[in-house]
Amino acid sequence: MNGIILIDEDTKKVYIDIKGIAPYLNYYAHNGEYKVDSEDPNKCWVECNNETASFFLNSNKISKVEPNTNNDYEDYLITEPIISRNGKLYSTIEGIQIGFNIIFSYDEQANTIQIYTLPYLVNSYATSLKAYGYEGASQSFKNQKAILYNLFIVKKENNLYGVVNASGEEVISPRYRSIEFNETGKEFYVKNNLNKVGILTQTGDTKINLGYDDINMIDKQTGLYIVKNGTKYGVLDNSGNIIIHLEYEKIGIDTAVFSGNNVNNKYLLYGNVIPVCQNNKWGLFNTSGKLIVPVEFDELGCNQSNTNSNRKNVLLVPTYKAIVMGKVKDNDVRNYGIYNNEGKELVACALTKVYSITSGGVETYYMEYKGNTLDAEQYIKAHFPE
Amino acid sequence: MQIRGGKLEYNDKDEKSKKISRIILIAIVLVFIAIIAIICTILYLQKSILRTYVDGQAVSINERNYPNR
Repeated sequence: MNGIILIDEDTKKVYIDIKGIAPYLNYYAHNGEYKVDSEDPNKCWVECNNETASFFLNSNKISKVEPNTNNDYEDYLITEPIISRNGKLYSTIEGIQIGFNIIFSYDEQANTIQIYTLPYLVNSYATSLKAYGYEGASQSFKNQKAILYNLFIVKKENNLYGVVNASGEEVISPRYRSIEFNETGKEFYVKNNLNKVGILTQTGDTKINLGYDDINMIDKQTGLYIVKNGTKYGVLDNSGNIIIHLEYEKIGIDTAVFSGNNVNNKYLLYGNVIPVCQNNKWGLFNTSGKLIVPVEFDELGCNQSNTNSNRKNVLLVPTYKAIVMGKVKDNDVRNYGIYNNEGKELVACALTKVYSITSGGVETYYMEYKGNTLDAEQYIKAHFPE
Repeated sequence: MQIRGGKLEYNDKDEKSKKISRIILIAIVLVFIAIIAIICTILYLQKSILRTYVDGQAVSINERNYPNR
């Protein structure tokens, strides 16, 4: 029962030992999660030079991110959750393909498994792309991953990019200054000669018109994109409709300041709150585009607890899906309030400090009001018992 | 008597060679069955052993297992 590949006799479902298969695919494997320094055996992560992928026991989520960057995780949902057998974490073919960027096929009749790694696929298709009349395929790792979906970002002699399928048929004609494959959305960010960016689908249809300086996906589940024009940011939905107008200097938080808060997506808190900043004032929108906390706060989170090394900066109080926001009063005194993810005020903006302390593995949130220190969660529980 | 004895001698030889022929025949059939059995076993084992290839190269990962259910 210590096999790397397990096949269920009845269902013929294939499970693969994530850490066990890694060396065969030129990946390193570790316990825990990439962004969190722990050796948690219920999590594991694998890495190659260009990417890390974290797997979580009983979870249908795989989180991938470029190593040594502050980029957010890109989350991928898989049909079957990660399972554990004899202390090892196993995933189905679907999860292994996503985590290791491979093509994995199991022929039940021949009892044979064929695995093709991304570098092998890139090399093996290089010649045929030249035969189709292209200079070659895009060399960036992100773009190479399109091969796993039978699509190739190709370059013509005039340095313009397009997309072809495995048969050499053009899906996106080679007339764009640059193309970037977004694996999460299985779509292409294309930039034209005017340096404007839009999104085309893998069938070549326009999803978001080429009218923006920059586009980034906020989250696959919500289907929202952050767009930039000049110095202003806004948010569009999956069809290119404006959810938040391009009027804000900043959208999203600085995850480095609140590293202890385990924020996985700097643009989206609790899966439904988008922080925005206009004229140095912060507010909160929900994912439907409704302003739930007015844009009148000077700070997002409480970041003045550095005097005591035990105290951590607090942006979120996860138990109550709460967000800490602060105002600077006339006499330069800072006050903080706590709001939930629907914009409801849980604690009025009168606190002098909000911080957290980890003790015995438990995170406790404290707030200071008129010199008194209170347990923030207990206070909220007492006032909002539901 | 000589003829009869000779006949008898001849008949003895005939019976012996018949016996030997039968034994040889049985041996051939048994060997044949054994060869078939060996071939079948090899084919069965080949099929039951999971073969894994990475980038076209055969790798020895492990034999087939079944998860606890």
